Amino acid sequence: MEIVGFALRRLLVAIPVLFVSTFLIFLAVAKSGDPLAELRERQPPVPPHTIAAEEARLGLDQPVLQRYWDWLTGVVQGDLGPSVDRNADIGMEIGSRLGITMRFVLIAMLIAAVLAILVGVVSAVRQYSWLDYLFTSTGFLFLAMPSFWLAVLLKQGGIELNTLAGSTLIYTVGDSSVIPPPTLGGRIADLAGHLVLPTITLVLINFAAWSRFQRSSMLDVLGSDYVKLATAKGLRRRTVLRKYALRTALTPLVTVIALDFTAVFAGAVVTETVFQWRGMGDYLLESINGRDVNAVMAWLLVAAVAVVLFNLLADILYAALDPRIRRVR
Amino acid sequence: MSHRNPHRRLRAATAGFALLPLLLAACSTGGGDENVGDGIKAGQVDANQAKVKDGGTLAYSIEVDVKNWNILHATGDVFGYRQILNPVLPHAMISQPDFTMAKNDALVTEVKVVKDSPQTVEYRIRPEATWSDGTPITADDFKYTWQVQDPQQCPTCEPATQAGYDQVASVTGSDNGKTVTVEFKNTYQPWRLMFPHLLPAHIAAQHGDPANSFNNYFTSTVPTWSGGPFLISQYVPNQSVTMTKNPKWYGDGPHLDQLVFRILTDERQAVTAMANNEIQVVVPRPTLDLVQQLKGVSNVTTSLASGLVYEHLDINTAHPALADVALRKAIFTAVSRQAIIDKTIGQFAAGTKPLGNRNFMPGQTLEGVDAYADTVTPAGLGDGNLDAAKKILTDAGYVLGDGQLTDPKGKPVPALRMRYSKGNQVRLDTSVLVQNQLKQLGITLQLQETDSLGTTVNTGDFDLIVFGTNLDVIPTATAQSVFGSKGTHTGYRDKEIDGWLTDAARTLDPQQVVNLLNKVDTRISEQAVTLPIYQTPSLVAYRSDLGNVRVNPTRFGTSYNAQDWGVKE
Repeated sequence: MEIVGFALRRLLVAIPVLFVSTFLIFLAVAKSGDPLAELRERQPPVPPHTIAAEEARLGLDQPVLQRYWDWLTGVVQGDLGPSVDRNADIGMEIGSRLGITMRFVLIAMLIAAVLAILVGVVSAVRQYSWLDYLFTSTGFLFLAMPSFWLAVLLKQGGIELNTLAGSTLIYTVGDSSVIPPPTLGGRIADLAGHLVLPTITLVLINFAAWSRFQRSSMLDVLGSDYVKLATAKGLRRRTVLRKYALRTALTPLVTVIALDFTAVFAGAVVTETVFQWRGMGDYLLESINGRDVNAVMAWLLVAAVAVVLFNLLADILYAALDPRIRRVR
Repeated sequence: MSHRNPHRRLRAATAGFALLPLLLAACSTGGGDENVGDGIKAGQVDANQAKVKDGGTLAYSIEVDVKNWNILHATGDVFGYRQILNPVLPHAMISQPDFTMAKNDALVTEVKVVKDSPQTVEYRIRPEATWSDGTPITADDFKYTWQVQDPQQCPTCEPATQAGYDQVASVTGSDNGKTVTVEFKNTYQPWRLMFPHLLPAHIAAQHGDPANSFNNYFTSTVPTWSGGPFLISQYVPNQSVTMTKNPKWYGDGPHLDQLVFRILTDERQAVTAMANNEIQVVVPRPTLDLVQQLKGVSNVTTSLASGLVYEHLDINTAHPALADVALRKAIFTAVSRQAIIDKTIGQFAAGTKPLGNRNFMPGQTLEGVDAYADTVTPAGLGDGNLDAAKKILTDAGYVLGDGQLTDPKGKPVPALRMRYSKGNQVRLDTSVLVQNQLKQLGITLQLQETDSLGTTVNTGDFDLIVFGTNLDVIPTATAQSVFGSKGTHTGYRDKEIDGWLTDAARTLDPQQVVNLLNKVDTRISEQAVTLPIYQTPSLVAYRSDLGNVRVNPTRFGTSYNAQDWGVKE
């Protein structure tokens, strides 16, 4: 019950934050440009009544505050508003794109987390060994590397691999082939061939940061008195590492990963663009380019809810793992 | 099309991370060696002409997902949508790569003016021409296509254009609907631009009145029908449109078994997708980087051609200072178009020369009549001649001292606002160059971006502005909307020009049309209202084993002849 109350308090705090942020973003996007600019530039000119009809459909003939109010009341009733693309349903679009993004974000986060824990623990246990130096330098290399650059490099590597193999194993655009292979095995290979490069990109970027975090966390724990005591008591080294050190050292990383989820989500914008996955990142760019206020707002609403939820999850995890947090709050 | 090609020069890219940009540049065969001809060359109708074999799949990269399936609708009139729907819709007339408008031989056997007054045009449809469901393509389809674009027939329809259709008095069919007679209220010179795409009247009839079928049904429904060589077999939102042969196609071809439009929203990703053979054709907006990178990919052919879009610098003559023709002439005399070209598109389209006309492009003909005439150079404009510009000013009583120009009344010429499109680097570069060139005349330009070019232009919210105009292969209507008193955005009104434009729209004699439009152009040059700079090039890149893929820098675009595409024999 203590945790439920804590979670409810956090959610209530999030409501005004969401309200203010949506208002500011709506103003910013609405004032950023005219979604019908392209229509007004055409030669020969588009008939004025056609432009007027589009303005009315999108609510552009209303003051911006009225538009925000209409959007807000619509959202409360489950209506995300009309898109600049007249046939697009923003809710459906968000739903399908969220699935595409989550497909590789979740896989990437899982792999990155496992790798980060392994590398972080080994680096800490073998501090200042050649292995530690190797992992450290590799980690810093990926930390310093812009994701779009890494993605481009991986694409070139994929093309080289295909050339060596004499057939297309790795794909550089899209999440699947337009004309899928006829067999089940072929389809699985096709999906994997499309998934591998964007996943590796996200894995390497996140693994680098998380492994450094895990290493320092593990080092802290290894230097603590209770671990020294466990060792002094004659417990086996493996038991000390696994039961005493690792379990404690994992707690901060779990919180970091939960908090980082939204950053990974946002970072997928670059990865999706380079690999042409039609996910949330691609939708954001497309909506901004088209000055599609309602689509941008829907994206940001999802992102904001994700931020709130994952911050809440991080707090709950922390509170669940460390009772002192609950008492303090 | 399932072949793999060695890609040796890119192999080095994996050797060192830091060297990637340099290596990519090294992959190219060098920028600026893609010559577009003698300053301008339209696409060629016979470029990459080849005998092709039947079979295969081709993936054409498109930058946008289709959000409106009706390309005659205002929001559906998008280049990418036209590329996808060209192989599905029947066309009476097709704009060719060489800027001519030709009848579509697959659909019509004859198109001609049968009476001058009232102007009457007859289209003879092939007896075998049918929609994919077997319904004949007839005058009914012409009639529906006319009605939805004529504000009197359908006031609530939302077409992209009404040009010409609002001049039609009647569309009637005879000979079982296979002869279509279009009678105009008044003579309409650019009639050849009409009926480039036809919509199926029999399907429209199943979906309410014309407004409902046009604004709602055709816009939102993926066509399961076809009147062209291909039929849409699958649409995956945001991913692709796949087409197979239309079994009821009545023309030659198609040769490909499948035609796929692959949606890649970032054109830069087309380079690796081409290298990996995931796409085989791409028509991106050319930039220096993109042209170089595409040229560096093995077994890919790139082709550039100057198009019907041209960049120009316009002056708002309603501005008190710019109302003086002497100042306008001096400004345009000081601007060096070649310097602008050299710093912008000349880097990848070598040979591009300054453009000398606002209605016709070099080499363009109108029904066999040579149309292009340079009216800009003879007027002394656009050559960056500072001495001549200063002389114009001093002769008119202006004084240049301490870097500030003073008008004949002794008042300093105020700083002028030069507008350019937000996010358009080429136009920003152009504006900076013009700013520097005019500084030497003592004229200060303040550069201001606009994120709504249409509004800025239409409301005259500029002193000087650089932007592009997309001409039709027959420019009469565009000239009327740009230079006529009713449409002009520059504030320049000239009754003589109005008269010439009206006459040009009312005559069917091509020589007279050319003469009249060139008179308009000469007057605009003399009055220094707008300064054409250059034609924008169009680019196509395709796998080198493909035949009949070529640049079509008109509204139809590269997919205008998709039925001819295939793998070379």
